[in-house]
Amino acid sequence: MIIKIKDKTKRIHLSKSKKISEILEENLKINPEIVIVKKNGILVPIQDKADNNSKLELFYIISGG
Amino acid sequence: MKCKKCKNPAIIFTNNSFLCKEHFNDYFEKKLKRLVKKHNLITKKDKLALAVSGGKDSLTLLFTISKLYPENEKIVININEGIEDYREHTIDVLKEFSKKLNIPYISVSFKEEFGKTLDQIVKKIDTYPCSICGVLRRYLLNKTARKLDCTKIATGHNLDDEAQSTLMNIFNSDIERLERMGFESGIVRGEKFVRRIKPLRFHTEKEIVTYFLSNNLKTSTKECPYSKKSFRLYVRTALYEYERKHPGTNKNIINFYDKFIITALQKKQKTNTKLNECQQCKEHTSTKICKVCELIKILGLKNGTN
Repeated sequence: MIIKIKDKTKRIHLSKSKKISEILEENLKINPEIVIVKKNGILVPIQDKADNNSKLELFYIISGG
Repeated sequence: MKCKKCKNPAIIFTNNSFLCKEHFNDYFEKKLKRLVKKHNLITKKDKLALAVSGGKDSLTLLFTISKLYPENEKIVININEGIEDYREHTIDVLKEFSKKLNIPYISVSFKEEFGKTLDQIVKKIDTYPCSICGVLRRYLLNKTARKLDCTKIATGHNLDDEAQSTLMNIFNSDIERLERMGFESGIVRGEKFVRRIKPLRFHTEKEIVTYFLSNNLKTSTKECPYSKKSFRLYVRTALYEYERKHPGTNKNIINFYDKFIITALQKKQKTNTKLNECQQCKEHTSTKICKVCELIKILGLKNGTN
């Protein structure tokens, strides 16, 4: 699967579908509380599942403003 | 994941429910209106100064207040601290957005008022820049709003900010700052203080960013360079860890503040607090010399308080 974080793109392999919050925590070591996620261009809750064909885009919660 | 109310695809899980875009927007806006109504934060006669930096919280504030309170006269006030390669990006977004919403916009800078930008000020000091920036920014906001005859200043503080501030003030044993918090900043009222309200105080940062993105609002993604040096970042990171393992932590801190701390502080306030005039600038202060005048002296700034 492809994951876009800011200007960078990462690829990870998933053998089966997995909760997005688990992908964030286990595969990317990111606290799910600090990001908003789009899956295939659409906002989704982090409880949603993604598979190897999914494209995720992460938006960090930026402090201030 | 399906929306609890209509079975359309959900965009967020919040308040123990999955919600689609439409029902989340509805929930978000109703929550704001409920807080405003319950505490009478905005009345029809109010002329509102919207304190907007151009970041996601304050742009969301601008968007929602202009949508939900169309009858009120409003003006956008931006304080330009002078942070290179950061503030200019958000100001560009803000100018365009204010124009689109047809709300007058005014920008006041540290450079004009105090003779130096924040970048120039912090070169000389060995402390958290945020503590200086906050004092000077609040002062300029109040002064500008008062000049413009605004009756309220609305800021974009959210629930996560407030939970962080509560803990920071407890860690610093800063009772004075602790007692100034709440949906309406400050407990003591003075004629020189324009009342500061926080209509987004019960909205989490996650809800705000989701609302921001789902309504196609845009801003710069740059983070303030000084936030990396801030005590807030340390507290914020810790609180998000708690939030991950114990969901609702931030909300519980705010509930605790509202139910317990604010009541205790209000009792103290009624009996103990006197509002003085600063001996130098004549603004309200709880001490003899206000914090702004202290900073002007320590940092060798131009006296913008005249």
